[in-house]
Amino acid sequence: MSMTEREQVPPAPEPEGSPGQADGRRNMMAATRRYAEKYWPYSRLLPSDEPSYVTKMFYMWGSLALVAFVMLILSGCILVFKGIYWDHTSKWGLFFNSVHFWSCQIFFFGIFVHFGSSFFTAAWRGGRGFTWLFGALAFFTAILTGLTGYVLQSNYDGQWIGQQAKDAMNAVGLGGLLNLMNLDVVTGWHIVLLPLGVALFLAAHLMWVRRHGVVPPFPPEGMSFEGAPEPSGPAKAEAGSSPHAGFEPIDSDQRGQP
Amino acid sequence: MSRGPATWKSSDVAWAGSRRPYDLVKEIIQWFVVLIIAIPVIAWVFASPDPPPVTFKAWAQQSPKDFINTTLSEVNKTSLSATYGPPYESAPGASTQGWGFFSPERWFGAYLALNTYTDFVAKPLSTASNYTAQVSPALSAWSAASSSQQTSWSKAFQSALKNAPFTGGAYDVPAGSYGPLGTILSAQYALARSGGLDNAFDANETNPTIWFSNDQTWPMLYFGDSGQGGGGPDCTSAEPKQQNRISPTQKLPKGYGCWYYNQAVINASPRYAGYLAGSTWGITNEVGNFPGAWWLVPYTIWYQFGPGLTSQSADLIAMLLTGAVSLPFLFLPWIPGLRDIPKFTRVYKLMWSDYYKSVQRQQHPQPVPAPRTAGSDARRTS
Repeated sequence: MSMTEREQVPPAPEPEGSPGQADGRRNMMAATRRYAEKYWPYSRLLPSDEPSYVTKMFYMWGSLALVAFVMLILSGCILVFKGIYWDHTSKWGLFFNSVHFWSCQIFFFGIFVHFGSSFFTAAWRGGRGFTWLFGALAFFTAILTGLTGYVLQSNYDGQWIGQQAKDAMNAVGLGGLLNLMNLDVVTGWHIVLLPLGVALFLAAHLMWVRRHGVVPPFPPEGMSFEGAPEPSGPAKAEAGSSPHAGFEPIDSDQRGQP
Repeated sequence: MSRGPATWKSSDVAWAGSRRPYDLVKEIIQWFVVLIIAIPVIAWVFASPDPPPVTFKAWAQQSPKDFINTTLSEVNKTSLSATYGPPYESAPGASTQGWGFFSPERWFGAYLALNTYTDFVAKPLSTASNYTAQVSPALSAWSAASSSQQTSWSKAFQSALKNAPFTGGAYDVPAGSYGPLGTILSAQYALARSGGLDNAFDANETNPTIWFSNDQTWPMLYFGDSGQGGGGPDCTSAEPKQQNRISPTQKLPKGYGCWYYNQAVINASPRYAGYLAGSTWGITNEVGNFPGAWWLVPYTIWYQFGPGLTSQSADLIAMLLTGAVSLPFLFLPWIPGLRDIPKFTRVYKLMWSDYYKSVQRQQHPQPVPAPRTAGSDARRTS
């Protein structure tokens, strides 16, 4: 059977009782699934290839930040088991506190380099504005997580930083929500609310990275995209033999977004 | 694909060209292997900062006059904390940050209501061994006195304290008309020197209903008031060179040179010879040689060069300016002009050099040399 003949054969009817058979337009779960299938088909969600221009080291720093975040969670969990004073009384406590401390440094290092490369490549192009926004929100949430972590060290650092930083929190009226001199409050923020926020924003960031893929390079000088052919589908690989042919207008629903 | 002048409408393009194999799982695992080895090694070799916390016991022992002066300012409610304003006080004269209606501090009121006399002195003193016999009557006398009487006593005590000799922890304030202050302050001083004041705050003996509390708000505000009572002869900077590090146009932090700020000086050595105060990049620094929270530079920079350095609303100005920078950063992709910066810097040319080289090769293919043969070589040389 040729390809054309195969395409003309009507699909076999779904057996009665199959999932999704009773989906109506107002079924929110069905709508959610349609949305997810449109933007996150498995080939995009778990890709085994990347555009041919993804060759440089600077693409790896986001992964470094992500893995450092995992290290922060792992070392943080170990610190939770023994309590916030463990590092003052045990060499193992100090060791795991140090793992947490250096993971934090590497996490922010990875984020900064990642931001730098994303900025200079204008990685928000092609409908990728929310990818940037979610990443920036993860960064801001991480800053607050770091601040509460420094206070939670419960040593002179914690005293000094909490006592100094409270003025800024009070000035904007947030001292009642996050009183940096109350370890009961700071502990909850640091180990629950803020890491949850970072994780959620990171997850959204990663989903949007997968939704739109890695931003293509700026067009080579002398090239125009006016009148470029419409894309034939979201997973159009190996289109064209020259590097120029990789550029095409994006889906109409993404047009107009940065 | 049509050709023509570059339009830079690259925000409307998506890649549908050739792809190359890329294993993200492998990349993650590789980083994980690197970090699971590197971070424990770094942690083991360099450890992490753990300067011991300061205590009232150390304060009273190391800088007794500053402690007593500061405590006096808590009793007569002239300290920084007593005049801070919201969220600790709502008194009309209390200081607040803001301008007119725009004062977020005031919007939420005194939700952490503080009475420095009661919370810092009277309640902890109720745990003193001589409370019933001596301290309680003195506190009652202080409370019953008029405001002018309290001021008069305070001035008299401060004057007498300047010349009081301290020998082995004991001090002898010359007799004077300072009413019950002598009893109250010597009791608080003794309580602090014995460690009892730390315990009174830590264990919340004054409020057993929150025995489990880990709230250090009051003791940390008390520490921060160090030097606020007018200081004393022992309020001298632990780092003489520090004076030169601060611009003459900048206001010195309150309490500068007194015990609590000196702890910042001592703990920040040797890397910064100094200081963790806001005017010298504050919490972006770290004690000793450890890297600090350098990612806070976009916030702490306003305390170095901002317009509100000498303003009473310095913190609010710093936060507003941080917000003013943060919002464009968040919404950069939607802001014309800002989002075009990368296009003009052309750093991307370097970052995608492989790609642009390949484009150049496509546009200007080099002539492929003819394969060398014995015959052709012979013709060229003939």
